[in-house]
Amino acid sequence: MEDKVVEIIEKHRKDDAKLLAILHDVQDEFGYIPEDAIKVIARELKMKKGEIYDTASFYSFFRFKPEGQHEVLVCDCIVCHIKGAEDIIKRLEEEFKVTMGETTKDGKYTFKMVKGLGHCEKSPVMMVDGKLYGNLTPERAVEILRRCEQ
Amino acid sequence: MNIIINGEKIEAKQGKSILQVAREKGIDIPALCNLIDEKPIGSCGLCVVKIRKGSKTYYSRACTTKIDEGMEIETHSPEIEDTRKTILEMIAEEHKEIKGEAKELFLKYGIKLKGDNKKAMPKLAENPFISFNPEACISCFRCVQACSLIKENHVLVRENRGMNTQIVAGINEALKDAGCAFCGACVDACPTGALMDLTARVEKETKKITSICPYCGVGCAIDYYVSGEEIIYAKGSPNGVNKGDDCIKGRYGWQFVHSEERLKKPLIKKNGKFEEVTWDEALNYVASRLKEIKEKYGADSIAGLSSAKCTNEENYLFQKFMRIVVGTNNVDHCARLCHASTVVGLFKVFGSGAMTNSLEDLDKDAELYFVIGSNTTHAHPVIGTMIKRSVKGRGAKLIVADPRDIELAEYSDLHLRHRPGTDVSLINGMMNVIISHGLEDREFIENRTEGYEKLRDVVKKYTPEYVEKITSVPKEDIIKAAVLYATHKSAIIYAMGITQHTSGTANVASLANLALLTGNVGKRGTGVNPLRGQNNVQGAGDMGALPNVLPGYAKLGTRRAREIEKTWGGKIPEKEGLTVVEIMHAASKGMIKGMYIMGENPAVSDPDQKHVIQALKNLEFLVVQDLFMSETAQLADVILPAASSLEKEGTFTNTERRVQLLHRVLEPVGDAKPDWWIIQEIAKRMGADWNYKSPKDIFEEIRKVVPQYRGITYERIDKFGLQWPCPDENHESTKILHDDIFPTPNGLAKFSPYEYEPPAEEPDEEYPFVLTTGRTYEHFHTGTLTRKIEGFNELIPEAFVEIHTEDAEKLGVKDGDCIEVESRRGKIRVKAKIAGIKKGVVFIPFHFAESAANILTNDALDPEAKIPELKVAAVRLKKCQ
Repeated sequence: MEDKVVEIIEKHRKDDAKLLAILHDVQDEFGYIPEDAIKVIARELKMKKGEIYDTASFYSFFRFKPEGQHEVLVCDCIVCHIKGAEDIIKRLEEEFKVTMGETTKDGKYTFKMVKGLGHCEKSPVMMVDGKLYGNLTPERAVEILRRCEQ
Repeated sequence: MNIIINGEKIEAKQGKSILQVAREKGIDIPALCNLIDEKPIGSCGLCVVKIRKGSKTYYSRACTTKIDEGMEIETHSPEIEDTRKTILEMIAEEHKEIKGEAKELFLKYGIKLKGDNKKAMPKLAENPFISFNPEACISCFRCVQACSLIKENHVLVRENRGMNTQIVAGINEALKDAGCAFCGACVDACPTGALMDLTARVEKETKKITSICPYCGVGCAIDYYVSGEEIIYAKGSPNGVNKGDDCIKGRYGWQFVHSEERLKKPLIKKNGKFEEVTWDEALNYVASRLKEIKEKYGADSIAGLSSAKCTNEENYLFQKFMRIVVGTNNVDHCARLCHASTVVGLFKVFGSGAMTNSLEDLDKDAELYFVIGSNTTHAHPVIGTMIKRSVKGRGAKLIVADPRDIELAEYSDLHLRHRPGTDVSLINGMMNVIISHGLEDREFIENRTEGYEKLRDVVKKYTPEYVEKITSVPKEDIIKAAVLYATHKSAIIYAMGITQHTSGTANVASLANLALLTGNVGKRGTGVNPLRGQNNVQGAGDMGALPNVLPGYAKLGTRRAREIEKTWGGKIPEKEGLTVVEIMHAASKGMIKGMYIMGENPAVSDPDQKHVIQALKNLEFLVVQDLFMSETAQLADVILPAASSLEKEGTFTNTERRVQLLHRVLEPVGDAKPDWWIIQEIAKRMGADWNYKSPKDIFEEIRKVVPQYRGITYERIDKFGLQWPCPDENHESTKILHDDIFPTPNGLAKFSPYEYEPPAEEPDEEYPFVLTTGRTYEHFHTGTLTRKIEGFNELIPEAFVEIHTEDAEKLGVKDGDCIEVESRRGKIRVKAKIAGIKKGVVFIPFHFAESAANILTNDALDPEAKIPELKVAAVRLKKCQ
C-alpha cells in the first residue's frame, strides 16, 4: 500500500492545495482512507498524522473504515418512520449484528441511515447499491439482502 | 489609535484585539477559548461586545476583532450580559462536571450545571499521566492550540465538525501512540478541568514552591504544588529559562521522590548483608576506613566520584574534601563521559569551555540552527520545543546531522545522515565549500582570529566528493549545508553525538572552527552551544570536581592554586589525578583501594560494564551516597542515604552558565541527609576543622575562590539566576561570550584544525554493524530516578534496538522480535524496533541495567579529553534462538 500512496503523493507533490487532492485519490484507490495511508502522507508531507486526520475528518465524504461490498441506505424520514422504518432498522440490526453506520464483520454490507430517498409513495424504502426497494416489511428487507448473497 | 470603551477614552496600539485592550485596562470580559491573543480561536462566543463605528452598530467577538480608530465599545450592557448568560446556559445543559476557571464563571452568572448523558470516552484517555473527562469538555480547542502553536506537537486535534466535534489524539488513538510528549501544555490550557494531571487533587491547603528541575541541563524552573509533605502536581514556571514550558520529566518526573524504594537509613554491609545503622556509626566507620587506607597505601590509593546531579556547594565541598582532607586529585565526575571533550576543544579554540550563547537569544535571533549529534527533543526537550517553534513559527532554518531519523529531522530543511564517527570529515567538508565559494567572514578572521592559513591548508583536501566517500552524505547536501550555514546568522547546537568519540575534542574544535570561519561567534543567535546532559554538569566542572583543575578551572601548581590553598588552609597536591575511566582501570589493577562515590552509577553509565563491575568489586572499601539502591550501591561496603535536590538548598548551573537557586520543596525522607552535610561530617571525623552551617556558607566561600561566580549572591538569584562570568555584585551577568575579545592570552581565537581519524572500532566482517547509544525521551541516564516511576515504565518498559527495516529483513527479524547484540566485550538481548535509522547502524538506549548497552560499548579514549567512545562500537546481530 505504501508504494501506491507515495505514487499518489508524487502526482500531487507540486500542487498548492495538495492534501485534499491526495486524500480524494487515496479514497478512490482503497475505498476509504486507511490509517497507514495517513501515516505515509504525514511522513511525506512533513506533517503530523493528527493534522491530516483533523483536516480529513472535517469532510463528511471521507471515510476512515473500509466499506462493505454492498451499500445499504435505509430511509428513516418522517414518512418512512410513520410507516414502520423503525421496525425495519431494528430487525436489520439484529439480523446482521451491526448498528446503522457500520459494516458487517464479513465485509458484505455497510448500513447507513438516511433521511429521505425521494420515494415516499413506496415508503418505507431502502436502497441497495443504488437500486430502490419499496413497501418494505422487516422480513422482506432481510430477504432482499439475503438474495444479494447468492 | 483612539477608541472608547464603556464611555472611557482609551489610547491603544494598532493591531491589538478589543479583548487585549480591554483586559489591559482591567475590564473583565469573560472568555473561555482565548489562549494566545495573537491567534484567537473564537469558539465560545462569550467575549461578544457591542461596537459602534460611524453609523453602524454591531455585535462581535472581542477576541477576533481588532481595534479601529473611533470605535465605541460596550462590554457589559444588559443585552450583552443576557447573551452571555444564554451561551453559558446552553453549555451548562450538557456539561455537569465542569471544573476550574470555567466553573467560577458559571457561579458568577448564577447558572447551574446540568446534564446526565454520558459521553463516550475517547481513546486518548488511555495513558499514565493525563486524565480526560468528556463531560467537562466544551470543545473550546484551547488544548488543540496549546499542542500545535505553543508546542508544535500537533497531537491533540479535532475530529469531525459542528455538533459532533470532539478532541482526539492523532488518528483517534491513545496519547502515547499518537506521539504525545506529556508536556502538559493542554492541561494548563484547559479552562474546564476536562484535561487534568492524574496526580492532581483538590486539597484545602496547597503551597506553591518554585525550584529547579532535577533532570537535564536546561535548568527549567518548575512550580511544585505541595500538600503537607507530598507533591501533588507540578508545572513549568513562567519565571524560569523555560518560560512556562516543560517536558515529561519536569512535569511528572518528580514522582521518584515519593518512591517506596528511597534509602532512608545508613547501611553497612556486615557478613555480605546490608544492615541499618545510625549516622554516627556509618560516618565513623567511613572516616576510619578511609584513614586506614590512606595510611596503609597513600592518599593516591583513594578516588572520589563527585556528581553532576549534586549542587555546586556539594561538588565544591567534595573536591575540597578529596584534595585537602584525603590529599589526592583523584576526583572526577560523569562530565568525563559527556562533555570533557567540549571543555578541552572549546578551550583550545575560544579560551573558554562553555556554551557561548543563551537560550533567550537563540530562541529569538538565530536564523539557522545546525543541530549535530543532539537528539534535542528527547534529551533537552524544552530547547527542542524552542527550535520547533522557531522553525514553524518564524521560519528559522534547520540543518540536522544525525544517522537516526530523530524528531527534529521532520522539521529540518536538510537532514545529513552521516556515518557515526565521521563528524570531523563532514565539518571540514563544509569549511572546504565555504572557503572555495568565498563565503568566509574575512573581516572576522582578520580581526578576531589567528591560524587561518593552517585551517585552510588542512581542509583543502576535504572536497565534497572526498567527504561523500567518508561520510556517505551526498556531496550536493554537503554543499547545501555549507552554503546555508555560512549565509545565515547560524547557531551550532550539539551534544553527546559530537563529544563521546575518540575524536571528541577534534569534533568540538572543528565546530568551533566552522563558527569562527563564518563569524558566527559573539553575536546574538549564533555561537557554539553544547547542551549539557545533567542539571549541574556545568557547575560540577566549574567547582573543580575534575582531576586536573581546581574550582574556577585554576590549574594545579600555579599562583591561583596557591591562593586557593590560603583560603582552604591546606596543601593541594600538585600531581594530576586520574579520570573516571582511568580510575576504573587503576581499581581493577589494585592501585585504587578505596572509593567514595556520590550520586553516580558507574556500574551502568560507564563503558565496558563488565570491566567496571570487576573494578568496583576489586576495591577494599567502597562508600556510595545515593537516593536509591543503585547497581553501584549494591557493590558498596557502606551506603549513605542522600536527600534529593527537591529536599535541599543550594545552586545548580545550567547549560547556558546560569547559576540558579534551589528552594526546598520537601523535607528529606527518613534519615536522608543533604550531601554537603554528609561530606562535612566525614571530613570532620578525619580531622578537618569545617563548620559550614548551610549551603549559603559554602557558596560565600565559592565566591571567593571562583572568579566567575564572584558577583553572584543567593539574594541576587532568589527569583532568577545569573549567568557567569559575573565578576562583581553590580555586574549584570554575561549573556553571550566572546562578543568583544576571547579569553586567550592575546584576545584572539585560535583556529585548531584536525584531520579526520576513523573511530577506534570500525565495522568489519566479524562485527558488521555500528552501535550507537543514547537517551530516550521518557527515561533519564541509568534510570535510577525515572525507572522508579510507574508511568514512565508503562511508556518505555524495556530496552530496544533500533534497526533499519532492510537490515531487519536480512536477519529475518520482525518488529518486537528478540535480537542478540554482541560486541567484542559482551552481548545482550533486546527487542527489535524497526525505525528510521541509517542502514548498517543500530541504536540502543543506555537506561536499562538488565540489558545494558554499556556491556557492548568501547572504553577507547579521546587522547586529549579522556572521554570514552560511547557512540561507536562494532557489533554483530542475530535473531535470538
